[in-house]
Amino acid sequence: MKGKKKLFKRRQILVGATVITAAAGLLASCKEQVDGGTPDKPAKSASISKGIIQWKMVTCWPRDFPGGGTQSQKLAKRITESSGGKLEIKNFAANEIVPAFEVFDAVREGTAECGHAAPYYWISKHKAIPFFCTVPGGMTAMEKAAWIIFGGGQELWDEVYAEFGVKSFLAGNTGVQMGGWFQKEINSMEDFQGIKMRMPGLGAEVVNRMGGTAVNMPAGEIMPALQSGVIDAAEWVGPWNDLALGFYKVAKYYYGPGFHEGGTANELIMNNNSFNSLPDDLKSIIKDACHASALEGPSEYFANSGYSLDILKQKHNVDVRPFPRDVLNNMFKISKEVVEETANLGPLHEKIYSSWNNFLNQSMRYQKYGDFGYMRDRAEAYEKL
Amino acid sequence: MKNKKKLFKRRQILIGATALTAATGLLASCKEQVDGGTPDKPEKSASISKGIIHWKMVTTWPKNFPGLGTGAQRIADSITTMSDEQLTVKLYAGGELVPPFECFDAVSQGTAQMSHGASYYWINKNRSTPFFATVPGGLTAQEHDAWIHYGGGQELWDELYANYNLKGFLGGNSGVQMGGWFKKEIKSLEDFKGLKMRMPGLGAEVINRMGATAIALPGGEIMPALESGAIDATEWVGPYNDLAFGFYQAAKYYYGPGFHEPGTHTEFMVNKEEYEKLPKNLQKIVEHASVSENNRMLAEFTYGNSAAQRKLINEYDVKINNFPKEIYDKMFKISEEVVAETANEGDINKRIYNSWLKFKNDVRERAPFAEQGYMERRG
Repeated sequence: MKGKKKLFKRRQILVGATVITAAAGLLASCKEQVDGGTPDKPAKSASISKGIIQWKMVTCWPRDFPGGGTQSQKLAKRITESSGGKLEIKNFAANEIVPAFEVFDAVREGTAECGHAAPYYWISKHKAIPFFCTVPGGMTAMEKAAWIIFGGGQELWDEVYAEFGVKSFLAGNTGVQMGGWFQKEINSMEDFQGIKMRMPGLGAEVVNRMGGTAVNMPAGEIMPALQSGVIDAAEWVGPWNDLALGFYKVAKYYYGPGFHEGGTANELIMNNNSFNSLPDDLKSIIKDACHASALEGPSEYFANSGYSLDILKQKHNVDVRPFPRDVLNNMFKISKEVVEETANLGPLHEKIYSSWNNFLNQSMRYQKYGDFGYMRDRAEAYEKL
Repeated sequence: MKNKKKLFKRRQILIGATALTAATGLLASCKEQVDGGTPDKPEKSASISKGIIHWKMVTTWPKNFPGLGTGAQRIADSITTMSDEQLTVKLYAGGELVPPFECFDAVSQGTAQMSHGASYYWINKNRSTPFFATVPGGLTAQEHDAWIHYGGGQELWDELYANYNLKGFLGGNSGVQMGGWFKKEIKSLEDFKGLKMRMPGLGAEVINRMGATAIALPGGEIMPALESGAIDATEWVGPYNDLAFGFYQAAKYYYGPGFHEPGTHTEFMVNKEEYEKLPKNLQKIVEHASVSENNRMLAEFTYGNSAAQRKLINEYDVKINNFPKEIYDKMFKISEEVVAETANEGDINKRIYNSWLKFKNDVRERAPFAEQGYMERRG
């Protein structure tokens, strides 16, 4: 009885979604009875023959780019494998189909069914989007996952994106980023006066209010700009990525942690129609694959940052140090002001800011007894061993 | 050409896995040609009828225990849904099928195909199993995840567990645990002398060396022991779980963070032979369900702990404090010694310890410039 009921349900799903015919191999055994063509003569277009759903994943990353690129490739593979090939996702590096900063529109318009990106690139679409990625002085990777998955963040994110016909899940994170590479020492607030620094997003506004001049440019242009003196300083990601780009060749001082990206999240952004037309098992596979990659990113960064930092220090004689305390205090103070201003832009902005701010404050009270407290006590105890 | 190649590959997979017949509905349209029976006349046993595989998941947790039990349930549900019910998983709370501490043997012998628990419960099987959960003075949740998935930890774990026909996956994390509930204030090392405290695993050895007496008790027996004075203090998990247990009714001082469980990974374990028999896509679904819950549970605890801490302070007048510095210094020093001693047990123990230690030294160096440094300045 149970079997029969299940079978009925399954058939309904299959009727409802004609493009899905899971067991393509079995179909071949009764090929004359089923439409969709034979293996040798596919009757339908490539993407729906054999009941396989094929999605294009456009990304903001160069191919094999450590972090975003590798995370997106792993995500595509994970979904394809878990679905037994029923949902096949092909990953495209930036510019292969669309340029990095056109991923949002490509997915919205259906040029690609999904994309992998850092949501704060879409700030021009809606000023509150960076809350789902990172804002200066904000949450760490773990806190972000907690707020989005368990603290109401996902629902607010869905609300913002619904008007664009897209939906996202968390799908990666870089962990805390470094403060940046500086050609001269930073000893006080004075040293920020007039400094020209590569800094994207809301962090740019913070640098400007500190007396510096923020400049934004893509990764490939940073090195030449530093070399020619167009900029005096640059932030990029952290030891693993920064070592690969070779910034140590043109700047000696490496400050960290940064105030501006406490844990930068990546997203899998999907066209709403594409996602909604999937059966439940494939929807569930996508959601789980995204949650699997949500904190896998920081782990990958943790594993690679420690030794990369050693190489920078020991092999390349980089001077790694924290910003002076009064500089950091100012950075966090101004960040708070800049981020708060977002709340004035509209009711949804305010709702997002309040939800985010409540959890951040609650988490800060807890962290003295949480991971932060532990790492602080561990560090102090080891100094005495 | 591309399609043909793909189809061929797919057929191979399906031939290799006769128990799996994904599109049952379609089969009905050519039912005479396929074995395995028709919907009305199943020819195989219940556990593989209609190509559906039924697995049992035993756990060490009480039913619906927040975070740990609910996380295990999410893994079971997620495997069932992702596989479109080709692989259905039924969860059993601790004691329903086997007692909590017998999960290891139950999965090893195939009584159940999978379990959810914590690897430090199996310390009697091998002294190094706690390295795959947490050890005193060790790695935080995120650091530990990095060691297992990217730093060689998983390979060592696989090597150790293969001896028992098992394979372990990370199945969630409770985050850094609190130091515990104390009836009296802890001001100096002196206050640990003679203290009777509930403390499991390697942490027990640490507090014994500090002059206290460690006692191991299952969750359900802690409250009565605290109330009767059989113990003076207890550690359990963190605000989220401790609030639910009501310890604030029996002890007023809550210290944290603890030194003993800086990021306890729960373990999702499968019978290796059964796992390897699964078709590739189901193996991937099992693996991915665990990685996914591994992150989700940590997010749940991160959210739940901060909300619960506020409640403990505001509604139940609990005094939350860090231990005094001299106590942390001592705890970490002794932890270092106790953990290092596991390396003397044998070749694999030594390799596990060395890999873990090297990784720990790397991430400790990085911490002041990463999460620790960031949170220190942010607040």
